[in-house]
Amino acid sequence: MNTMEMLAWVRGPGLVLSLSILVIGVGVRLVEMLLLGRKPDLSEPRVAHSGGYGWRTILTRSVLPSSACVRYRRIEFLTGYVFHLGLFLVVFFFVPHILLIEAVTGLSWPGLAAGLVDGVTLITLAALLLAFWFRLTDPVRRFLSRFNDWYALAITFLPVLTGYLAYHRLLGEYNTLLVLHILSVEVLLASLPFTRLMHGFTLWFSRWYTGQMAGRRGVKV
Amino acid sequence: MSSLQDIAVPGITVPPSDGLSGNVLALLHEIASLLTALAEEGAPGSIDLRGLPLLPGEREVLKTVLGDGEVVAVIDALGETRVTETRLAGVWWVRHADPAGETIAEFIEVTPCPAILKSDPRDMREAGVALREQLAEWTGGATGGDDGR
Amino acid sequence: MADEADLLERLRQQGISRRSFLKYCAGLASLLALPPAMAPRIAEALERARRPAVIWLSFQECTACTESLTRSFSPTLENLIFNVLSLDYHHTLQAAAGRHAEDARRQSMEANRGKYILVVEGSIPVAEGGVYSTIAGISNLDMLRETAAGAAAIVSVGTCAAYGGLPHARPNPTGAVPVSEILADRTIVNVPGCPPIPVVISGVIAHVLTFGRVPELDDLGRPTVFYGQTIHDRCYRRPFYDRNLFAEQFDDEGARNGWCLYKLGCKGPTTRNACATEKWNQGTSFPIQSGHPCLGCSEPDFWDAGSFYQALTAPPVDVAKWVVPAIGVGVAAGAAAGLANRLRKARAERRRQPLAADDVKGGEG
Repeated sequence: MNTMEMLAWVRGPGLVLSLSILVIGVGVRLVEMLLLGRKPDLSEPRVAHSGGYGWRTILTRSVLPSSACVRYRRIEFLTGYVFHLGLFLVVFFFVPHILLIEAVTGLSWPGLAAGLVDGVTLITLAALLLAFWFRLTDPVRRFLSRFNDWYALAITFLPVLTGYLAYHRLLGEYNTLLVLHILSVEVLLASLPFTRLMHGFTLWFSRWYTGQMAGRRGVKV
Repeated sequence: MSSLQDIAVPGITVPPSDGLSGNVLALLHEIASLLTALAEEGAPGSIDLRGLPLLPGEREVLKTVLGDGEVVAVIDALGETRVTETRLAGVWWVRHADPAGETIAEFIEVTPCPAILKSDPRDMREAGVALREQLAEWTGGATGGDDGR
Repeated sequence: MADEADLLERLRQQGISRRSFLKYCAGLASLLALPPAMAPRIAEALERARRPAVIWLSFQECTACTESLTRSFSPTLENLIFNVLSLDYHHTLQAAAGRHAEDARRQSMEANRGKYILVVEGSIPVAEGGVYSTIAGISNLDMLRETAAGAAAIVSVGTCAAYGGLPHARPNPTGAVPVSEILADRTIVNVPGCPPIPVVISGVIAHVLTFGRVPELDDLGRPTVFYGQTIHDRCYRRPFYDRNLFAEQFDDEGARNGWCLYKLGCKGPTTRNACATEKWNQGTSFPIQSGHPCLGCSEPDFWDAGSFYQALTAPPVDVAKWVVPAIGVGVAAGAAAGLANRLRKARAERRRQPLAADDVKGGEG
């Protein structure tokens, strides 16, 4: 199998396969989880309509860093924000990525200049490495980390790294790097439902519940 | 290394900065370092202009910046080869064209004298032989020349 | 015998001076991306080159490769190189036909055994025993095997000979394969392109003549000197890509301004060829300069790699066709699992027997 054949495979059947695993996996897990329902809370609510607290929490925890969290681990907190924002920009605002999404879904939006995305990629890589370093050096987090955690970090890091290498033709020729880049993305897509990366879907629900429960009990959110 | 301004050459014109794109500046820096090598070590160098991803117009800008010096030589050998010394001594613009006038190769040579201008030793020897034979024919006398090839 | 004279002598007979020769060697060095200081060495090697025989086999092809080469003939480097070759068999260009043509091929093979250069244009059909393309009653497959046996070097000219090309495109009714698949044990120089750039064809032959061996090849059998870089990396429109300036349509402002053609389907980033630097028609232009995206014609299976006018990142298959049903499968499976959980829970609920604290005798539970 030569490079072009591998490229054809990852761009076609590989993509279909990984996306199918992704949507089936996410579908099964989300629907099953939602159908499980929650135990009825029989306690007396402090607030009549606590749903608003849920929505507010989604907003506050996602956009505005809560001062309580920032206070303890400023650098770690910032690192998390940087690499999430970086991933978002790189994945959804690099023009070739937008064109892929457009070809599959028909949706399109303006992209960022390749040079700018390049800079963001570098920052994202640095933040991901820092996140890895924190997990490795902090005894508590290291103790708590299992294979799933290391694996999730690795499969998030690799697509960014291979994308950066391919863009700059570093450590190999472009088509080989492109194959590795797409392949690493496909591993990420196919693994997502079965790893902690599922939080990309579940966090919205869990944040809403957290806020809602807090509101119901009269806790400030 | 040294920039273009550091080379003490009178009369060099630098166009407004918006005319100097990255590629032209990079080439000028390379020429500057080749000139240093030529002056200090006597090592000639050259830049092949083929295959440089120059933007349309950049070649012309480069040519304008380097300008025309004192020497222009035209070689008529299966199409015209034009050897022009630029305003920078030792920097030659060499353009080889085919009989249709299309460029087949273009170099910036940094050398005291481009090789293609020099006569070939074998040609010179043959020329001598041919001249002696001709003289012998005209004067009817024998000459001591070697045989031609 | 003219055939025994060395190249420089033959050129001098044609009135070509040593300076002309040096000039062409400078052009050749430049073409082969060798340092200009190599020109005298090339001159030295070429001076001693004997007139090599070339056998040019045309199989499943459109003759555009030959056209590309012959149309480039102003007295240039290609001409110089081809003047010094003895093209003994080329059924488009030769005067002889039928049996006489085949005799010429066999005679040349006999006289130059182990020394001739074999050039192949077109793919070889192998389905049904190779009946889909025959010349003088000989199948392409047999002719290739027979002629390759005594060849010193084998050059596959064009994407068809190199990778199968158009005849090899799905559904490939003739079972077309590239030369390398049939002569798996030989080193084949692939000069792909649809058609290839003329100076690239002649440059490869010049390299063989100059250095007595084939040039350095990449993993797809292409000379790295011409196919070492992608169109995108050498494209003069590359700065527009980096600055996010794209033509969105063929007649919009971006197209008129000469911006990057990536969004219009340019395959430049994954295509290796020398178009961006060598250009076509005596250096006049190349597709991207003329406002058309690169088709990727020098890459294997470019014909089956999705639409020419869809962005490179667009998948070559209908992803939605497969993935949308998969969403249904996922949701259905999730719902089934959820219902099963609920049924289990309900069953457990039904089986639960109310137990009061008094019912429990010590030690149990």
